[in-house]
Amino acid sequence: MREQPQNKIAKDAVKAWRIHAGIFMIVLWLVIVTGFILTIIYDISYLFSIISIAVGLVFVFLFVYLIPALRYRRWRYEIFEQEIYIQHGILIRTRTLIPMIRVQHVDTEQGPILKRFKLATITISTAAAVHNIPALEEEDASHLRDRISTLARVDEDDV
Amino acid sequence: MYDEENTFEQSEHIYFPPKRIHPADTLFSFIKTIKDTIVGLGIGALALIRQSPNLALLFIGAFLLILLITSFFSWLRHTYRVEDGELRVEKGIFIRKKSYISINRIHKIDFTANVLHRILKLVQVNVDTAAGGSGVTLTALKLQDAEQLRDALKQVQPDAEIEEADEEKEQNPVRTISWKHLIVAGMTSGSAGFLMLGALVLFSQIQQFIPDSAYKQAVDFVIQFSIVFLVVVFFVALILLWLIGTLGTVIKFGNFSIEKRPEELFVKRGLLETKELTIPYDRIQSIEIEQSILRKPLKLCRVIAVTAGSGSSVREANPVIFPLLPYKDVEPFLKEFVPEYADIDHTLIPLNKKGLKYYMLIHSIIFIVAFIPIVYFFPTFSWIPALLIVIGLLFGRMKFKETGYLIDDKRIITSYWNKLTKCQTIIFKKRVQVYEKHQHKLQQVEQLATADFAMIGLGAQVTLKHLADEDANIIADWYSRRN
Repeated sequence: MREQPQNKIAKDAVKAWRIHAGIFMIVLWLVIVTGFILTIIYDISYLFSIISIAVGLVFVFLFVYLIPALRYRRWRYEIFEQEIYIQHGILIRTRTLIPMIRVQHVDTEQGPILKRFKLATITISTAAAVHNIPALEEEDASHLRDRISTLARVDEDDV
Repeated sequence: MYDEENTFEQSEHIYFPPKRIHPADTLFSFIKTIKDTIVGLGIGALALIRQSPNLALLFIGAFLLILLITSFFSWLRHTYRVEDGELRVEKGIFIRKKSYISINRIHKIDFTANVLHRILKLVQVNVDTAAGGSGVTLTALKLQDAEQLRDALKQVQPDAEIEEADEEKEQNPVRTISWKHLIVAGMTSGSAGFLMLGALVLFSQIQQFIPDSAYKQAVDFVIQFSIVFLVVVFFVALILLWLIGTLGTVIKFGNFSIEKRPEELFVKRGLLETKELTIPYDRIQSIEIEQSILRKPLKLCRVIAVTAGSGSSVREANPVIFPLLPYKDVEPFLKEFVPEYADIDHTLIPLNKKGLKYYMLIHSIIFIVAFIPIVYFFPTFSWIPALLIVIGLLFGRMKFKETGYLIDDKRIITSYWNKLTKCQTIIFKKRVQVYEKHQHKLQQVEQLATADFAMIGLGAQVTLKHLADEDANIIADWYSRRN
């Protein structure tokens, strides 16, 4: 666990995450705009609107611009014959080691946004928890899924 | 050909007609459902009573009536019989559940009895198969019916292992808890705290039901008796609650015994209601030695087996395998009952010194934050947060000093504090599902790391905070199967 895992996830992950965050931001901005209109109608101080617009802008900067980029930079994975090694986390960097013999099943998932970019997420389940490798190229993802599931089929030895 | 006929005849011979279990089952399932729903129902009823008492009564009445009727019908439709070499149990009002257990597969037959059973001279019969997990429970049978059933199940398989309590106990190691230890366990259980909280909540609810005038009179009355009286009442209540908590533990763990069987640990406990747990060795994920803050100064602890799965053979998430032991007796206990987990007395590898400040800060930060406004607004009381800060700092330091790990071939011994309990956990490498190393920005700079082991089971996780980064890597190397 001294070195970080080798492989990066697909570059388009950033775009997909930005769109994903953008959708939430649209909802947020609808609320902000509604508030703005209401302050005009009921003649309330503009201060509230200004604060909410400022907060909205900061949110857009954070969630749409900054976080997806940082997240992409941090996300790494590496598949060994005996185990899966994952790194993620922006503020708290987490490195995870999942032995193949503990893997119960592997799935690939694809939401509408990921589908547009031809990306897919791998989900790795153990008896204790579920781990993801998000946003891999479709082909890579299904290839990896098959590889993990073959490797995971090793007999349980007493280690 | 002849053989086949013969076996048919034999199984015909042991035909045991369909029978219902004792009608008291209606009562049992009625009580059980009430017991299970009392909290939710109670809250609902309380909320309703305030708005309209009549509706609430109607609601409760209707609920009880429906419950009684369903309990009755579920009794009516619950039968057991022995035919074709199988124990066949059918139950369910609309959805019929049929459990057929081949007599050959029956591993053990237990009778248990709680207080109600004893009054009505009934027993509960548990029929377990070797697989564990899939068994059948008949909640209420007359003792003679139960014996009849047992004999019927025994007839086919004279060598089947039927539980005759006393026989086996002489061979297997058994350990029981002494009354002295049981009572000490109760007194240090800490459930008193929860009881107090409960009483407070109850009190705040009761206030709303007392008419205002009565309340006012009472308040005047109390004020006349001065604050001393209140304090006395408070302490008496506290002691009373503590006694109730003690009693609760004594009832729960009374008659505790643990037996080492070839395949499993067998735990029996309960003063009023006897509970039996079988813990197969291969289900044990880790052994935990817990010392709560009350027990630590007395050098006492309890031992827990963190187990996987929710099969009926392990009915508790993390069963206590011994409720109270002097710490020095842990080693012999482990050696006798779970020998591969024994040998725990090693000097552990401590945390890195740089981690100390995090431990001290996290336990005092709340009081430090509270200190400033209190000094400003209530200067006379500023000694309280000051004292708490010191206690917090010392407590953090103690936690820091008692956290560590040791890799011992195929297992890892860890020691750490979980809130107010010191835990010592022994985990085998093969039981760790996932290993994680977390580092926040400061930890990255200071070469510290938090190590996290996840096991199967509810909340089965061991976290060591602020290890030296290199130690976290050494654990990773130990855990990794790459080399």
